[in-house]
Order: sequence, then C-alpha cells, then structure tokens
Amino acid sequence: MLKLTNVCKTYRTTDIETLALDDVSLEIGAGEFVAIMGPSGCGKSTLLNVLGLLDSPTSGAYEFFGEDVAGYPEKTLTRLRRDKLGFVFQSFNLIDDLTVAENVEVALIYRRDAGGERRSRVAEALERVGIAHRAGHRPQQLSGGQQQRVAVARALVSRPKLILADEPTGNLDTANGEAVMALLTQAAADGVTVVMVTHSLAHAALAQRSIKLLDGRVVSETLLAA
Amino acid sequence: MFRSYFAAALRNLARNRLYAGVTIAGLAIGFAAAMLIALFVRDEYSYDRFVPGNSQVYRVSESILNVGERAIESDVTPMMLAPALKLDFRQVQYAARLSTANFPPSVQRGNFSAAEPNLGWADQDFFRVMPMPTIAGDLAGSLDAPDSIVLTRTVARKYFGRDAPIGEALLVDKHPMRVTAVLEDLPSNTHLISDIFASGRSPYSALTHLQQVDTPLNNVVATYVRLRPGSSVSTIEPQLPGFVRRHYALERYNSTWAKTKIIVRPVPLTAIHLRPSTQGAFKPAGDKTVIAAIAGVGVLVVLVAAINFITLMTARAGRRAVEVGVRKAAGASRRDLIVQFMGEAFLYVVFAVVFAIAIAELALPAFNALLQRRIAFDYATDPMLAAGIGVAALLVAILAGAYPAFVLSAFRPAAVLKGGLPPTGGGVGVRQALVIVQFAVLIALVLGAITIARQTWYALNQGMRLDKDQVLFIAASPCTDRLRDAVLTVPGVQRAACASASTLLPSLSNILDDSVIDGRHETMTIAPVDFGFFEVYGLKPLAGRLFDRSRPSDGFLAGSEVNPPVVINETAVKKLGYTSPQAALGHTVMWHFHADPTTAFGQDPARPSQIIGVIPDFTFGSMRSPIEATLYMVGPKVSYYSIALSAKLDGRRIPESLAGIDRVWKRIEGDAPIQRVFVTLFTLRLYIDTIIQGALITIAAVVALSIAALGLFALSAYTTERRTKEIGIRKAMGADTGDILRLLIWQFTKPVLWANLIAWPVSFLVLTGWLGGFAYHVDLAPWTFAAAAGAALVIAWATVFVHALRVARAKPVGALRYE
Repeated sequence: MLKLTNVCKTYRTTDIETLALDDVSLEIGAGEFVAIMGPSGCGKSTLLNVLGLLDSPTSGAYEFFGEDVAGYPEKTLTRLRRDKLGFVFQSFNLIDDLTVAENVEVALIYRRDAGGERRSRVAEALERVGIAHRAGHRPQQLSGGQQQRVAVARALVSRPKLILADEPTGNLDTANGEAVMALLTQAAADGVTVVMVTHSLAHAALAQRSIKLLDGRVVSETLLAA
Repeated sequence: MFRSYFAAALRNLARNRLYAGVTIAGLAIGFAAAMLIALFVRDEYSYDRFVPGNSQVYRVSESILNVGERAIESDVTPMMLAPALKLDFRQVQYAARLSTANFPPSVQRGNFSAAEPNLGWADQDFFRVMPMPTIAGDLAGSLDAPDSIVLTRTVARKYFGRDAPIGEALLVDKHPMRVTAVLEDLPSNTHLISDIFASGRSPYSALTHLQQVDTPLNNVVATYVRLRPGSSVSTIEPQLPGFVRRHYALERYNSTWAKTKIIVRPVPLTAIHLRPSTQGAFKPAGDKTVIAAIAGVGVLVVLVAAINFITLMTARAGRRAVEVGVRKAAGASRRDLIVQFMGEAFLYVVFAVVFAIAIAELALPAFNALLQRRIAFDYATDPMLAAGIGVAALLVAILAGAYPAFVLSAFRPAAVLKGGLPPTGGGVGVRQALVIVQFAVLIALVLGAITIARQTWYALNQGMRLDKDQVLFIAASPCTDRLRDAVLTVPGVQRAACASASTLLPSLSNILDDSVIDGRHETMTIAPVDFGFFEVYGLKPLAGRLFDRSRPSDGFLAGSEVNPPVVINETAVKKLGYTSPQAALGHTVMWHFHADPTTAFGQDPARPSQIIGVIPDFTFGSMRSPIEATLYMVGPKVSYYSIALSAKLDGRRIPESLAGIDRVWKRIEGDAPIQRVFVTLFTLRLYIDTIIQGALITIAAVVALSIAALGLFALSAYTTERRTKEIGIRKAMGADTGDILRLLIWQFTKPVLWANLIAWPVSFLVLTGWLGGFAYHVDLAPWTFAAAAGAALVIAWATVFVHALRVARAKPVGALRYE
C-alpha cells in the first residue's frame, strides 16, 4: 500500500547538491509497523517526509494507498494528508498558544468534522493516551513525556491509515519513551500502518521490520517479529 | 563598553534594514506631521505679536444684549468710541479707527487699475497704536496728511514695480493720494487683512462718510487704543459702564435700543484671534477647542509611530536574545542592558528626527498654501523651536524605548542560550494592546475626516436651503433698478434681483428691530430684498405670496406713512406664536425702518405693515448660527440696503452671459472694475476654517494610516515568521492554503474589531460635540462608523496578505525542520 520505486531526492543550495535519498525502493504493507534506522544525516527524515507527502521526490515513483502521487498538486496532497495521515515528531510540535485539547483538535478541524463529533473524539483520544486530566493546560505546562502523549493523541484522533513518527522517543526519558512506544504498538495492532524513525535499538525491536539507511540508500532490511 | 553597545546597535540596525527602515520611516513621518501641526498650533497662538509693544494695545469691542436674545459680540463699534475713549481716559495714549469699505475701491496708476477689497481707511494715529515693520518712509506720521497712503511691499511692487515709491501718486476711486510709507508684508498671523492703509482724514474716506451718519447705534469701524506705558487696562474697566451711560445714552432712542444693554470691552491685541467668533471680524476666529483637537491629532500621530517602534522592537526581541544572554553571562547587569537598549532607542529617534526635519521642510510650502499662512520653520535661529523638537524627541525616545528595554533586558541567560526562541508571554499581550490602540486612533481619525467632510458638504449645499447653482453675485454700491434691468437683457440671464447686506452678509451686518405684532414685542431681523429675489434662488412661498413687481405698493415708497408689506420666514412664524404659516397671513406688524442711510438713525417711528407671505428658512450665513426670525421687505435701492445683484444664469451659456454682463457693467458703471463671483464660491469663505480643519485631519489620518500600515507590514512579516512552526504543523495535519490564510488574516482582524470598541464611543462623543457647534448639522450616520472600520480592516488585510499568502503556500517540510 506504500510503494517507493527508485526514489531520489536532492537538495540544492547555491553551490552544493546533496543527495538525501539515493534510489530507494521499498514497500510497506497495510498494518505493518516499520522502524527506520541510521546515523544522523542518512536521509531518515527525508524519507519520512516523502512518505508523509510533506515533500515530493526529485525522481522515482511513489504509490500511496494505490495512488501514484507523483505530480499531484498541493491541494490533493493536502486532502490525502488530512484523510489518511497522522504525524508524531521528536520535538512534539505542539502549538504553544492552544490548549492540549485544542492541539489534538487541530487534526480534525481541517476535515470539517462537526463540532460535537470532534469534541467526543478528542476526549476519547486524550483518554486513550492517559492525559485527559490535562486537557485544559497549555503545552508549556506539561512535561516532555506528557507533551509527546498529546502529540500521539493528535496523530491517532483522526483515525489515520498511516502514522509517521520521527524519533518520537528521542527527547524522552526511558519510562516516558516506553509509554509512547506502547501507544504506537497498540495503534499498529489495531491495524494502522506505523513508520517510525528511531535511534533506539530497543524501540526498533518493537517493530515488525527494521530498515537501515546510510547515505540515502537502503542498506539492510531486517524482519523482526511475525 | 559604550563602543560595544554602539557597534551592536549600528550593526543591528544595518543587518535588519527592513525593520529598522520601517521603524525610522514611521517615526520620521510621524514626527514630520507632528512638527507641522505644532507649527500651526504655535502660529494660532502667536497672532499679532509682530506689533511692537503689543501688550499695551487693545481693540475695543462691544457686547450688545437685547432682552431675551443672545448677546451679539461685535468687533465693529460706533465712530465716536475712539475719540471718546481718548478724551475720557488719561491712560489712553493713542486711539485710532480702521474701516474697510463695504464696496472695494478701485486703485489706479496710469493705465493699470484694480479693485482693492482690503483697502482700509485709518485714523492718523493708527500706526502710533500699531507700529509695524517698515521698509521705507516714516510710519509714525505717515497718515497725517489727508492724501497720504501706506502700502505693503507686495502692493508697492504691484503698482510701481519697486519697494519704495515714496512720494509717488495713486488714484483711489479717482482721487489722488501720495505714498508716505511702505510696510513689510503683514504676517499671516494677524487679525488684520488690510494691505493698503489710506488716511481717514481724506474728504473721500469711508471714515469721513461715516462721521456724517454717526450715532452710538451705528457699528461701523474697528477701534484700537494704545495705553500709556505703565498704565493698566484694569484701571479703565471699572469706569466703562459709566462711560457707556454718558456716551451712548440709549434712552434717547426707540424702544428697541432703550431696552438694550451695551458693554464696551477692551480685548488685548494678542487675544483677538482666539475669541469666539464675532460680528464684523476681519478673519474667521481661531477656536481653542479645535486647535486643541488638532494638537491632539498631532500627538496621536506620534503615538502611532511610537507604537510601531515598541511593537517592532519587542516583536524582534528574540533575535537579540543570544546577545542578551552572552552579555549577561559575561556579567552585564540588567541596568547595563537597559542603558544599552535605551541608547539604541535614542539612536533610532535621532535618525528619525533628522529625516523628519527634512520632510517637514519639504512639505512646508504646500502646508502653507493649504492653510493660507506664511509659517516659517526656523529651527536654526529659533532656540525655542529647536529646544521643543529636542525635548519632544527625548520624551518619545524615553517613552518608546523603556518598554522594549525592559523586555529585552529581562531574558534569562540560561533559557536563551539553550537555543530556541525565548518565551514571549507578556510581550504578546502588550503588543496586541498597542496594535489595538493604533487601529483605534486610525478609525477615530477616519471617522473625524468623514464627518468634517460631510458637515462641510452639508453646510455648503443643502444646509443653506437655496438653489445657488449658476447664481452670480455682482457687487454694486448701490445695486440699482437700472443695473438689474440692464443685466436682465443679457442673453442667458434668467433672473436677477438686488439684495441688502443684512440678507447676503448676515455674519457681518444685520438690522435688528423691536417689532410689535398683536401687542407683543419681538426682536426681528429686517432684511431688505428686491422684487424677484426669492425667485432667483428657487424659493417658493409656504403660504401667501411673494413680492409682486406689478403692485407698486409691495415696494418701499419714500415718505409713506406705512412700511412696505413683509414676507416672513418660518422661524418668525414660530417666534410670533402662529400655529401655521397660513395663520400668520394678514396680520399687521409695527416696525422701525431707517429709510435714508445718509442720515443718522435711531429716531425713526414704528410704522405698520402687513404680512403677505411666508417662505422657508434660508440663509447666506454660516451654519454655526441659527437662522434668525426675519422680516423680508422690498427696500430702497440705496447703499447697504442694496449691495449686490444676484443673477441666475443659464448653465449652457455662462461664458457668453459673463461677457454680456461685463459689457453692461462698463456701460453703466464706467471704469470701476466689476466685482463678480459665483455664489457657490462666495459661500466657501464661511467654511474655509472648517475645510482647513478637515484637510488637516484627513492628512493626519492618511499619515497615521501609512505609518500604521508600515508597522503592521513589518509586524506581520515577523509574526508569520514566528508562527512558521505552527503553520507547518497545521499543514501537516491537512490544513490547506485557504485555511492558513484565514488563520493569519483573522489574527490581524481581531485587533481591528477590538479597536472599534474604543474608537466608536470616543469618536461619537468628540464628533457630537463638534457638530454641536453648528446650529444646523448632519447627524452621525451609522454607515460612517462601518466605513471607518471597513477602511481599517482593508488596510490590515492588505498589509498582511502578502506575507500570509507566502507562508500559507510554503511547503510544510521547511517549517518542521528541527535538526
């Protein structure tokens, strides 16, 4: 359902051309939990951005849930993101001026869902990540672990088909990291495809498959659990 | 240490050219506008100070109180007042009269002649009362000879082509007069309008004519006195009521005057301009409230510019955070940093002041042309002015610099050095509040400009209730039947009729009379007109009929035992207590008419006349005064009972008609230059001050608008930049360009909506007060409030749209990069 074929991505500054993804081909099935690993600067985040339709490949084909999205206009990509995707970032990326509940709601607002429906789903998502009691707080009033749980709630609330997590535990202590991983594992178990970039071998081990990147190329794939 | 601060400040300024440029430009434009406004305000408060020894000079005015009526403040006084004051009061060193002729005399040299409406006839001591800067001749004795005449430099050049034609001759209404002195041109900040002063001792002078018809009731000349050095006006004032009893002796006259109370009031020369408007004033008076309002507008413009400074400095504080952190880590105290940032504020202000002075100098000629003034901007030679600019700049630097310095110096080094943006908490609230204040000022200024424009338009158009389109005034002294009938033969002239000064110039002269009707006494205005006068202006009777030329008894008949019949206005109907115009018809009114203006008046008997018609209220005067209860009658065609011809022209044949009228004039009046002006233009003079106020407020509004737009443009660039992360998140969550655009535009819409809550009530109160100064005025229309709010919204949207669109269309991946 996600299929990259010979995808390249180059970034050009005035005098240097950087090859961030170099002929990457890979396939990820529905409901799969995939971990992407590799050293800093190997192209993990670029890969995630391409998968998440936040960035488009320079060349190659990308089939997103059966649709070849190469050359899609921004409007269509926006619609696909809105309907099918959830994101979790290393730095949480919560909006400072909004409350916890409002931050989660952001994922629903642009789907033009009805207000009542939105509120009940936000409440449900916050319940699920165990943060319902802080619904009225601002992000700065929460610990890092709590903030990331809000971010996971935001990724889950729209019931996406695909969750992209970019080092979701990178800024968290062990206990909070485990809690966030448990949430992602559960999501995968519920049938959501999860693609996670991580540096942590322990957290990668929770995935079904691990893909290793180096200098923009896939260097190995490991099937971990059944 | 200071070198490091200075270097940081200059480099910061250079690195952030856009923001620094916007800040300095905003301040500079604001300062420039404020400087011009301050010059105007100072000019208003400096009237007549060019006269040496002005503290001893007074103009003597009168208050005339009729029982039950508003007091009339009159700048013109009887002929006898000046000599009587000189005789009775030892403290009066010199007294002199000045009269501008009702009808402009023609002045001629060789083949060149012109009408000189500003020629003043003055007593021989006039320049001893009011010495003025002179470029040639001996001013003190310059009016001693009966044929002497004093010119200003401009007039000297106009007739002689040089500055000092001492001893040369000019013909004034064909009588030769000799130039004895030439004055510097009078400054614009004087209440005087004359540019030619002719000796009142001439047998042809207006003063000589007026002397022949002098009574204490005939207010015709301006009276000036100079007190002896060391004498105080307070020693004269207590004796003035006795002086009035001795010299006016009102009980000698008819019932109106016997009941009238007159107060003689010495007004300091320098206070003349800012008194409430008076009858017979040479120039419209300044209004302290309006001047204060205009000064307030100047302060508001600077406020808007200072707010720009504060918002931009604090909004961008984050950029300086590392510098603050490093300096603090290196041991700088908070005080050190406050000093640094205050110093920077001062640097900005100094740049802005330099630019502002340049802008003000460039704009001054246009500004003077608009105000019809000659205001100078001599900051180099005027220490008060330079000090004023310095103090104002320092004040703004301190007020505008304090808050940003406070915010910037408060950053905690540990927090800012860890990276990322420092918390913006309180700063955002203050910034929002300041932006709201800015918009409130804008909305209020726009509302003020719209309302002044509407009221001026109303006053010049519907307010007078006259159809004055294509009606031409032709000044004539007197306007005769012969002139009228000749003008009526000109092709394209549809109607023509003479009228009196009290009809056409109610702000300069009116004739009040104690009229008796059905046994009741009421004060009425007597306004002589001509057959067909109402018809020229499209006025139709509400009841009864208008004057009919085919009935000789409708007109004034010399020697008649009855007064001619009258047409009265609606106000008179109400004042006389009739329930309808119809009810007033046929009643007999007793009133006094002084038929022969070449004899002294005050002794005429009351004679009966009949009310034959009622017409709607109308006026040629200002909307500031209510329309008086008026009796219109067909008057004799002599002097000020018949001062001008109104001629209604066919709009399609105007050039032809004007040429024809000029030919008729030449045939009847000979060489005297024709004085003609369209009524619409003539009535403009009543509202010159209002038009100038409106223009000033409009300019201030435009300036404030551009400053605020500049500031908003930069602020929106900054905040959209600051919200980049949030926008990235929202886009990742599926927001499209439209969603983001709406989000950002809403952010700048909110302050505008809040601003209305402040601006509307304040403007409502101020403008209601301003309109209250007019007896007839427009109402504050709700649409003007909506329009002002709309204008502010459009400005806000236009300035933020560019940034918002750019950010909204950007790919989210850039915004979310964090490694």
